[in-house]
Amino acid sequence: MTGCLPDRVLWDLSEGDGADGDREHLAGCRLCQWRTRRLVHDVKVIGAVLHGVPPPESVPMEAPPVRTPWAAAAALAAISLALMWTVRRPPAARPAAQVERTAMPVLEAVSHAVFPDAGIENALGSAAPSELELMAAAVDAAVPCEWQPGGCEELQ
Amino acid sequence: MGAGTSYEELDNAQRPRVERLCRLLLADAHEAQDVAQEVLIKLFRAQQARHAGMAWDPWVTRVTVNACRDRRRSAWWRRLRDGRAPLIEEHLTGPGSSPEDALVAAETRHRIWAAFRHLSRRQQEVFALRHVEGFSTAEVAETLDLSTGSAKRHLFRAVQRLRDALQGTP
Repeated sequence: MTGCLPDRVLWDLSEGDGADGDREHLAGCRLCQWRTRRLVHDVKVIGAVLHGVPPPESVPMEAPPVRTPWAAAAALAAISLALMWTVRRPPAARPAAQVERTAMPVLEAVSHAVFPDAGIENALGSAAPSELELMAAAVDAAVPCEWQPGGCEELQ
Repeated sequence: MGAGTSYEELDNAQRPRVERLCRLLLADAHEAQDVAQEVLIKLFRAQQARHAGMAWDPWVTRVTVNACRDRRRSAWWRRLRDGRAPLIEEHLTGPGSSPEDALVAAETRHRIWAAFRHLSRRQQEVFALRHVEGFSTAEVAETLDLSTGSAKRHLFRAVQRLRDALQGTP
């Protein structure tokens, strides 16, 4: 098709526009004449099809037009609620041992400030998590262990 | 069709074109019917106002195209609001299929309509007015407030895409 006119020019010529040189080419080129006839014919057929009624299932009706917005809105609302619940929810109670381990530096500082007793601090620092309650009870107790019925041996 | 035309005559003359244009420019059959009705009500009011020397064809075309544009702009909101499913547009029959249309295979018609629906709004309007309604390119440009060159560009792009659909080119 070298030297022949592009479709755009053929279109212009068929619409009554176009340059004189192109019109001369068209007048002398059987291929371009055939292409122009085909172009005009195609447009007539398309116009005739569109002049009629769309085939029942032919036209994509931007489907699904109803459920998608509601589904999207519902999903958005659900996500928003979940986010709000997550943000506002009070932190879940963690296992006691984890809390105690996490709070150890604070406890130590408080303990050091309130009870500047190296023995207690050492005992707290070296105590296993299972013994902490006993140690705390001993620290909190108003009565020294020596005065208690079981004596200090019960705590060890 | 002059100013002395009765509304019945005017309606008979304009209704098929109004319905066809709405059907072309709006994918939803219900919306096409609603908008066609709106346009015909406007036509009734304009006719009652007895605009002397009114050229009804361009007036009706312009009002119809604008009404379809408005409806397309607000379509998403209305669908959200009333959740109406589109129906098959069997009751919106126009003047009927032409012999050329009848010769075109159903699959090809399907492709052409689908391709038309995928054109830009401008391309749809330009092609519908020029090759379905038979306006001249200058009239199309004037009706749509476009320059003639712009109307031609939109038209040629629409023609290219619709020809691809006609020929089955992806």
